[in-house]
Amino acid sequence: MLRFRVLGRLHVEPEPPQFVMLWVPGLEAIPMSIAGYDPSDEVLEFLVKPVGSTTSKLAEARAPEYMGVYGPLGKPWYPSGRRILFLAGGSGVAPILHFARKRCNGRLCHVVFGAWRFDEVGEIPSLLSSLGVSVTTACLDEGCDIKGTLVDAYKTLSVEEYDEIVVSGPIEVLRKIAVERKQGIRHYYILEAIVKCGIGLCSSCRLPGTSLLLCVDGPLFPHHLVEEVLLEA
Amino acid sequence: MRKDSKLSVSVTGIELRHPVMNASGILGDSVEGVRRLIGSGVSAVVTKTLTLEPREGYLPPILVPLEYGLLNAVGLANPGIDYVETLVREAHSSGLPIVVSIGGRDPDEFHVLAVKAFESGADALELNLSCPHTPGYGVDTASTLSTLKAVADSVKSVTTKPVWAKLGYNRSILDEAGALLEKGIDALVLINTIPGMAIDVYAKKPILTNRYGGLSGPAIHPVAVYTVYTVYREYRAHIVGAGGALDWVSALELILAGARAVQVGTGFYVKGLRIIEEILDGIREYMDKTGAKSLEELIGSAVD
Repeated sequence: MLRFRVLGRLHVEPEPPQFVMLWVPGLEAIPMSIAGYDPSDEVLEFLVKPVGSTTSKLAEARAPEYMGVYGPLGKPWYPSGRRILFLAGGSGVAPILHFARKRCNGRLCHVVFGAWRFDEVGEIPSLLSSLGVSVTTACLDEGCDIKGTLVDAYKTLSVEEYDEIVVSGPIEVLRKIAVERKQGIRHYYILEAIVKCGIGLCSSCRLPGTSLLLCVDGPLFPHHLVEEVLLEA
Repeated sequence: MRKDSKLSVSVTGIELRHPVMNASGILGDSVEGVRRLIGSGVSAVVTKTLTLEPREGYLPPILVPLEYGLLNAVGLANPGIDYVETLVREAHSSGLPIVVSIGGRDPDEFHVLAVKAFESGADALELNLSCPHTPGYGVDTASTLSTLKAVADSVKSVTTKPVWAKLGYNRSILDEAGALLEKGIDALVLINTIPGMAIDVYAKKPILTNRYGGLSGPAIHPVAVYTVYTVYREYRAHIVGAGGALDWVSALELILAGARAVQVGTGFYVKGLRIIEEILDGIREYMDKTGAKSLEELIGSAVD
């Protein structure tokens, strides 16, 4: 988890599941989900998993180090139901942390958090618990509440207890959930794309086969809008 | 689609039902983007600049929004000239003319690009001779009057259809415009973005990955009006104005300076797709109030 104090001003307070373009000077700017925002000291939080050179540089960052931030981008989403189930795979849990902070007060929120290995689960469950959200963990080795993948966990759930389901994580996970989708409950997906301009002009983040631009129309989409994107493997 | 004889105008023989279209680089690089443009009410579609091969462009940051405009260095990202047929078909299916913007590194590349664009049914070409931020293209190609002339010769030799040339502001603009018109270029598109840079004071680095980029929007509007005015006064040529047309007044200024049509770029970012209708409504109202009977009588009417 990285925390940055905003030195300029954010024009609007970020809402989940909005993201920013986080610029690592000298490398590039990458889209990054906002995991939390504290308006009192203007601190933005990000969950960074080192996978490429830019995220590795980010993960090694220690204060005082300056990064550029541009946003918030994308649309906020406001749940309409009272009981929300979040399915989060890996670093896809970042926007869910932000949801937990801002949308779960007065709601019944439950998070199923999936990782490959137990040692990757880390501080996430305790963070979520501290926000008053119940958590179930799933991983392939011993130690988690459920031994199996996030999709395995989804299959065993009784979804009638919830009004809405929000799925966030790697595209393969989203695809599998879309295939296994249970009827009678609204599913939403937080997608990822290569974002470049961030304001709907360059179309680099267009979802294939649609006219949807992730940076202005997303990143959260209801099932019917992205069904073909997810089911066309 | 709305018929509007008062606003109709002919640019290089292409009949437009009104004078407002998009600027190259805005949405014109995919079928979905062209559809959005058509939905916005443009009178013609201008494609993203197409090059011989597809280009990825630069890594982000490619764009810095400023209070007075946009600074961009996209790096001519585009799907390549072989995609042109798809774009042409999409525009023509809605009955709109399509202007294909092409970017070559030398006269021969422009030649090949022009042949492919016209074979696919392009109604006109826009030669990108002025992209300020992609080495080898744009201002680099057009660095001397003799290369400008060679590009014009090379493209005009393959077609009788209209060829427009897009230039940026510089001190030699009259010479450049004159050289192109002398070689048979049918219209000038004035102006492209102008070079600019933004530095992050904490990171102490230029923000754009390419370090510098092209400035557009309100910041360059007076430069665009001046350039259109100056070139129109000298040559009375067909001009398409571009640069900070964000509302009907700024669009009309370009027309009064001599532009027969206006392109909108940054305006799409500031106001969204509704900007086209907003500009047209404003111009219609202005014409009613002032008793102007046709757009034609307004073109260049501020030029003495």
